[in-house]
Amino acid sequence: MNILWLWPDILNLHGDRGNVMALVRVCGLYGIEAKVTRVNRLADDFDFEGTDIALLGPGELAAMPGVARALSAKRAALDAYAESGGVLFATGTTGAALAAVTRRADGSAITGTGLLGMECVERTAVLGDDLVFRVNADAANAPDTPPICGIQIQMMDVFLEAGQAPFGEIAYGFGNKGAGDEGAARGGVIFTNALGPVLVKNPWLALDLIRRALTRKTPAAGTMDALRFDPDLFALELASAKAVRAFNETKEKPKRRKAGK
Amino acid sequence: MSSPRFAAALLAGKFCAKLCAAFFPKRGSNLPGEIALKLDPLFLRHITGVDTAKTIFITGTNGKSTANNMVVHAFRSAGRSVASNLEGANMKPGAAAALLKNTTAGGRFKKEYLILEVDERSLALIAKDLPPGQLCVANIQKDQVQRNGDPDYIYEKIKAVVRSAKNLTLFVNNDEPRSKSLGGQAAKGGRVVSFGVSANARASQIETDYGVTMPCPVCRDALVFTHFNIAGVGAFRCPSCGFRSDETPDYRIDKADFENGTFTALGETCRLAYPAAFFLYNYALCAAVCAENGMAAAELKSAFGTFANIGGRMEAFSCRGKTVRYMRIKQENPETLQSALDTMAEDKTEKVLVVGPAVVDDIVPHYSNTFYTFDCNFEPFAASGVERCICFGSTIGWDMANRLRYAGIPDEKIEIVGTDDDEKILAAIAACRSGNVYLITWIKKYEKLKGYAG
Repeated sequence: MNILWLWPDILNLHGDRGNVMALVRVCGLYGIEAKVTRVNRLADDFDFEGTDIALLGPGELAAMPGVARALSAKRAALDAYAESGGVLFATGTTGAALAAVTRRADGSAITGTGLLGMECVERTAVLGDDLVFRVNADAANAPDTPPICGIQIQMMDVFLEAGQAPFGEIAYGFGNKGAGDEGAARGGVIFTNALGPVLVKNPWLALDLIRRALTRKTPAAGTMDALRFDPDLFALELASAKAVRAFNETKEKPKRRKAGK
Repeated sequence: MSSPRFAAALLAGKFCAKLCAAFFPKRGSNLPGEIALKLDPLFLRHITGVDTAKTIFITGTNGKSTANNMVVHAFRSAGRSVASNLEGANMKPGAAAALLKNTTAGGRFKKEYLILEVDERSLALIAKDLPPGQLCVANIQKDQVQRNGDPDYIYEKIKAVVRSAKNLTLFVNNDEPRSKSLGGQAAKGGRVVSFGVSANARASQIETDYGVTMPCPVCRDALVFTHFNIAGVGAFRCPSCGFRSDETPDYRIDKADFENGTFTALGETCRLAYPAAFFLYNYALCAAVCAENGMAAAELKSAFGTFANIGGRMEAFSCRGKTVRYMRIKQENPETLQSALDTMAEDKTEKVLVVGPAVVDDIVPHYSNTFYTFDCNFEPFAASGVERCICFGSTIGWDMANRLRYAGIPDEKIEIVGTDDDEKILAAIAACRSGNVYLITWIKKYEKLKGYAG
């Protein structure tokens, strides 16, 4: 499993390096060798061709123009990777690099790659809360797995264009804009607001990404049988998710308004 | 001639300060200021006799309370007359309360210097009415994400103040990239003074596999650190735009000797009262401010020799024959957690870690955030001799256990006490072999456990 870790020093917020650790760990649990390739600087060359999973962690919005430019410099390879089902997993504010445009509070705009049909709007106040959602059935590769538990630090609201499917449906929390949908997905290109790190807290989502990548890499029948979700392997994470869900059921709920553009 | 509104605010604030001093001492650092500002929202502006050139603000994410205490101690030791907010009330009402206690009945400031610790989110609000002539930015780091989002959010707030302040002397941390880069934002007529710490025995290199640095605050490409003195702070450079720490900042702490408790500042060998690497930056900031305000090296050395930190970070209690040392950290603040981990990693004797950071409950919604633990490097701690890790808490005990597992602590050394029950937590501690116990939790839980154990 070739994991491409894009600009970890720039997209360095919220402990999201844990997502790389989680992918390596889950690969190990299923006997899959994982190799992580770091791309440190924006001008460093990298290759989508040999990549199975590419990761973009959350970064400051001020860093997004550079990230979007660096991705756009690889546009043809990026499009080919996305069209072939390659997994590109982005979390938090780095959704701005995959969106068409992000409008900042100072009136400026960040032009993204438009890989996902999203428009983002910077918030004037930060919102932090737990986030629980179910991956949409048509986006999930493993529909029998538990809901996703994460943390959301919302710096921008996300508005999906017509025809753009969300990644999931909110059970608790704010998601894209305060109601209903969470994240966005198109093939293997996935954006989620969930931090945590989300793949540490939900190794079943890490497994889902690995399944997607292996399906693309080795389409032979039988591959997926060996990658079945095994609750015994993830007892600690399941206990954590249960405790967090119980906490969310009893805590004082915030008064929220649905976000508007 | 003061306005009736200001006169009423002054009178009410002073009366309240006297009441608090007599009956509610804990409220005295803030409440009188709240009342004064309620009656006169421009109260800070209406105080007379404050010398802007001698108004010093100390802000930043970490260390501002300690640095403020140290600077005030040094100034007072040298015979300077100082008003401050040493109790830690660092927002606008706290600033107003500090002034109230140091003004005449006519609203005239009575001291020579005003030295305030200022909350970084409140800086612009306070500076608008009470402009500082000197501003110290200790650092700008990850902290309280539910309020601050990311460090750039705070950086922009401080930058706006730096850009608009006239004739400001700005003290920047040479080794912390965001603070250092503010030097490039100073308005015309301003002056930038840098302070730093040379590499020492506890300096570290970046981890290879999963280590991350940070984006350059100038060009947003990746920064390279040649060493870290503490988490996120050290010698750095940006290969893309050339922004870098200076090899010789204006003021530097050298020759830190943690074993013998000494360092050098302004050419003098001084006493290192607190042998922790993060403390060196407090000394560096203090040395810079004192020297720039005309204090002699010998005066500074003398002040460092007698400095005692208010509410030191190392506290302990006895629990069934074991010494439980409390490692205080700030909620959602990876740098303070990293300092705690580094301190524990220095202790190579067999130890027990008891860890139970509660849910974050500052504001509604409360939430179960633990992601900042993945900003920290647990591996040196994990390799330093761990008998057992006890993770407690009814909501996030399991997440902490998971973090320790990722650090390489074997499952059999991790015990989850999935409750907040003091008796069960203390029973788990008592069952351990080692008498060397470290505790990481929030202050209220520490006090409860200490009370229960006692």
